[in-house]
Amino acid sequence: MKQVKNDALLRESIIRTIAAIARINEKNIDDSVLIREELGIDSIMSLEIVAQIERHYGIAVDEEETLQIKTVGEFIDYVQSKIIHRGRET
Amino acid sequence: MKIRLISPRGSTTGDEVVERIFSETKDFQGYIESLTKASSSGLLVIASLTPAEHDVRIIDENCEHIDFNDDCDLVGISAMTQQATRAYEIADEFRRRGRTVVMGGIHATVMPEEAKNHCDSVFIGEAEETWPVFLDDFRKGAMSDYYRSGKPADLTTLPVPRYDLLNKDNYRVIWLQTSRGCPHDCEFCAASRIYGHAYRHKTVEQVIREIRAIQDIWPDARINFSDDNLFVNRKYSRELVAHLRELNIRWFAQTDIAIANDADLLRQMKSAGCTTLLIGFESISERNLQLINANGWKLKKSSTYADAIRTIQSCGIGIVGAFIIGLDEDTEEGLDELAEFIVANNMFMAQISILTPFPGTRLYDRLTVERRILDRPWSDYTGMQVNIQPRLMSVEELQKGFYKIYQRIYDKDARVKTLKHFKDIFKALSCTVENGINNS
Repeated sequence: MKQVKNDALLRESIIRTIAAIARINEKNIDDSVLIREELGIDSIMSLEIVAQIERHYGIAVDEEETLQIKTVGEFIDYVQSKIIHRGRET
Repeated sequence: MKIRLISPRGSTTGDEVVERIFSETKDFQGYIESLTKASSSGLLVIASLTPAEHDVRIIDENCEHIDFNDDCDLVGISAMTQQATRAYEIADEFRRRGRTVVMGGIHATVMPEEAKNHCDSVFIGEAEETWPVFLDDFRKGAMSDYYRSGKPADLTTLPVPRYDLLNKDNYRVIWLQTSRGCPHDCEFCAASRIYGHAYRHKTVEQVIREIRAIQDIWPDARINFSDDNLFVNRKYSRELVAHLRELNIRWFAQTDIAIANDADLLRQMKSAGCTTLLIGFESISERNLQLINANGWKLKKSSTYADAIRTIQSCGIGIVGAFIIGLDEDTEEGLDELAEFIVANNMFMAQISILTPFPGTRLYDRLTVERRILDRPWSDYTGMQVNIQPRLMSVEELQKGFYKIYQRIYDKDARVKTLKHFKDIFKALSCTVENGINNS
């Protein structure tokens, strides 16, 4: 139950970060939306988002890997997997 | 009256090799698409100056097909040089069907007689004053062959361009013009022939109205300011930037390297949503810069390029470096040096243009005298194909050198280096997000 709540909070937090940096209404962001084509987020904005998330969650994100990510949902899953991986390491 | 305003199909690159490089790296650099999918701002202005009683439609051939059987009364076509060949085909097709066709834009302005062979009337220069006069003449059946603007348009009196006439789904980046005219006198520049060197701008209130009109249609739009230089008048640009912050938009603009001298303005720009600046460096060769710019301004600035780039990027703003190759002092080695300069300075993207002798420019006049302009169609005037005989290189060497630069600056190592560089910058910049991550 706690894991589900944490997942929801993480999702909400990532979407809020994307919205703030890309200056997009949060309501227009869902898991299926395409980061580049639909949200108009280019690699500069992506890096700003990634840097913010790295700093906050203490994870290391591979810049090149993030370029392969197409949707917001994929990005959330990616960050989640990095957080889990970090948890295992500590 | 049914009026159709057409922007003819333009070429993205006109070149398979470059197309492939861009396509393979588009996740890294999405900038080119925003240029090629740009709406024609001139036609939006013309539409806004057309009385409401007329049925006006804007057709962007890059996004939609032209219905040549449309029973319209009037066809207006605006074209840049690389669109001219297609513009003439469209004009001829409509005239064969008995339609009245008029042409304007930068190419018709500098080649009015050529354009007149394909249409009924040609607009020379800015059409803000002449379009209403023409509409009146057209209604009376007394059109002139040419409509020449007598003086620079007063931008402060212009209505909001008719963004509502664009097909919403075709555009994610919207271009907005706040000013015209550039004080620099560059040999290759065609824009100054239509807009002149006197800098004129809209009021801040006008620009805000335009952005709000855009946001009504595209709530999360990215705005690209199409001005040759958004920051000529610092007092004005500071005021504009302060208001942009309130509008919560992300935006791109073009300017010159002097912006690096104003770190405070750069920080304000970042905080107001500026993501990227296109900066016209033109060349890293002092001898080239000497030739390009009549007032020597760019030459004086060239020694500051690396520091200036660092200053701008450290504020979290990416740079699209605009360079011209095929200049008179360029050699194969010089082009290699340019590629390494771009990579070494972590330039986010680069717009490499092959020196193109656009008609109406001082460059065109000089190269005509020197008999160095190749016999190529206007559709090759994309800035990505060689249309001149370079001075110190062969045509083939220049074209290959062009490919080599793009291959180098977008190779995997260079891209990863730039990405890491920017991530480090963003990590160093604290509090860039005010409403982002909470304590989840």
